[in-house]
Amino acid sequence: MWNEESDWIGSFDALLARLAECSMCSRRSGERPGAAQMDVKILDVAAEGGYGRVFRCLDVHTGALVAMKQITMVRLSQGIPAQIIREVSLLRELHHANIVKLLRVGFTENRYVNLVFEHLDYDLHQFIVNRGYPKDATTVKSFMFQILSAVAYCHSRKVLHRDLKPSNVLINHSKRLIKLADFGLAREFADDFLYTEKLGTSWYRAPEILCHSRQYSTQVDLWSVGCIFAEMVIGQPLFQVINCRDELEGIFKLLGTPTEETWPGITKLMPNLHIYCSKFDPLGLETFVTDLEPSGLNLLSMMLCLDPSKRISAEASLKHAYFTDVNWI
Amino acid sequence: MAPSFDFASSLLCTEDSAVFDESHNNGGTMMSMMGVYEDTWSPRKRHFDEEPDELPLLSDESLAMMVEKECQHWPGLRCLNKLQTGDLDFGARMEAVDWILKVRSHFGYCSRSSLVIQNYLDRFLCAYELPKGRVWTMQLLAVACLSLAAKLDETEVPLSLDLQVGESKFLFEAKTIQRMELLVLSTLKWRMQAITPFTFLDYFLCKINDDQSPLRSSIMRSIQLISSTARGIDFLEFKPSEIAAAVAMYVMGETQTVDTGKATSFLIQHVEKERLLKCVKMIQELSCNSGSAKDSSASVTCLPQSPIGVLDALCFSYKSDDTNAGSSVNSSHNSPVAKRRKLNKTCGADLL
Repeated sequence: MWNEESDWIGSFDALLARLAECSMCSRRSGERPGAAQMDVKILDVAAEGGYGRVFRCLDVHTGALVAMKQITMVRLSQGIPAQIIREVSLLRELHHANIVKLLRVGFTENRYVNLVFEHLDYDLHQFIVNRGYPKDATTVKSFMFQILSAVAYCHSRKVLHRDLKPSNVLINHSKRLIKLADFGLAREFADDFLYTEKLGTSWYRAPEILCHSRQYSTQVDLWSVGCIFAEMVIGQPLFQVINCRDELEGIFKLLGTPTEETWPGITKLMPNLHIYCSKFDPLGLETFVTDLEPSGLNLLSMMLCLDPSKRISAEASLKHAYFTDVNWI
Repeated sequence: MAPSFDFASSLLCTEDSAVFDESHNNGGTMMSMMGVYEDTWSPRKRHFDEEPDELPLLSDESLAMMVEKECQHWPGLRCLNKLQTGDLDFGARMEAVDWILKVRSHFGYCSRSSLVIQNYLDRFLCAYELPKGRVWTMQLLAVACLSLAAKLDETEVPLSLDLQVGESKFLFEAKTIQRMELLVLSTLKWRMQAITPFTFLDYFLCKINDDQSPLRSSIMRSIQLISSTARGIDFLEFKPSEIAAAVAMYVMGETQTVDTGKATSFLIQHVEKERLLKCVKMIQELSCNSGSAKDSSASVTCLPQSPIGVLDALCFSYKSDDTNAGSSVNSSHNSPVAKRRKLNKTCGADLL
């Protein structure tokens, strides 16, 4: 009995020793955990969130600035959080100029997963809030083109982002380069819905998700991109400026309460639609999104289209007239 | 919300429903018919009166990409070599696979999830040498692979302890499972998308059906057959696209709704002809073997009320053959004869 138990422990220790190795990091056992383990030197804390912290770091080998996202694994009963697995496994397959690069993955003491990313200066939310929204039309157009390029690439790889919002759009200042980020940290729908019903992130959620549709597709990302587009033009979240009880009511106030003609299938999706809210006549996008050229407003209206099957795709958006009259890098 | 990856989509589905809608909605609202990726929402929000497409529909260009990528994540031949040379414990792997199938049934996951989990298992075993003589490590590996597949698919993930159903000999702590999860993730280099025959199936079924949606019964039949190929090691030599093409061809041929020659000429654009025909033959043998386990009154084209029951029958029948295969040389020598005998008997029964 004792011998058998000892044997079990011994073999498991051997398993743990090999566990400490990570081929992606080329780590060696015995090194101190944390930053040194990831071959980075921590400079400061760049951000904190429910998931953990983001550190600004120097890459020990290249001297380049990098961002290390340290995610706490708090619920041991569930093992590795699903969001981490999704984010890493997806980013391992996505290689695009407008998608943030994941450089290394490692873990510390079975308590943290450390993701090392290329560093970018700030996100679009910070850009809009702190530096004033991009007032010149060229910057808006350039940013939109890059965002749509990244989204079109993801969709061609059968990947939905499903959490597009300004804080997940990173910006390289000197190059005015856009990179999509955060491919997995958002919580699962049920939790997210409860937590964020009154919070900002719901401002970017597509109507078919808000209606609890169980079938949704790439169009949900295009709705979010449309919300980002409007926000870059008016300087604040579009559905924040509409006085409404909740997000879905705001959408219906803006675009009109859907009918079977405007959104085939809506009565099956929302049988209690007439109880849920009054019948709104559309206020119209042009009421809120001023100072956008006609072709831009046209593209925006095709993104913020109630019926998902009629909403424009990312690939088609890139060919829209809005993008044909401007040269950029 | 997390992004979605279609490779492991829809672990939880309505596969068990006894009533199948034979007609297919071809309206514009069917996203999948437009070649757009489709995902299923959280099961707590599921409206069970609706029955979505269970398989994502690839576009032509996506298919080419998948065929290129499947070789990168296909453990088949290496796994087969290891099993045949004895480097890999055949019995332990079989036990793990059996356990995966039981747990899948227990939680009501799709057949597809078994192949995703098995993909992780086999890729890991090809890249990492578990300690010899420690049967519990294979069981722990199976638990970790199941947990990872469930998380990636965003269904509700059972607690670690709840995963260990189906008469496991060992019970692991959550912390232990987490460590194994980390080991699997690192060993697979965090590449957790799994390309399985289901990745290709719907595309092939539609194409050889003149771009019409296949009957629900054809889809269910295909799912059963593909799941059966996961038993044993005979189909490890085939790539997922080859298995999908062979199953699609066999099933559509079974219903006699398509020209076999025409189907072959289409499919060999994507898979090698010789391998396709060999795989079809093996699918046919698999199907005939499973036939002997059914009531004599049942035809292979008749859908039973419970696909899971048929799946169990298929597994049981095929498992017998596996036992022979794992046995001595003499038994393996007799095995083809035994199969041929069953084949004749079943074919004779069909003629009545």
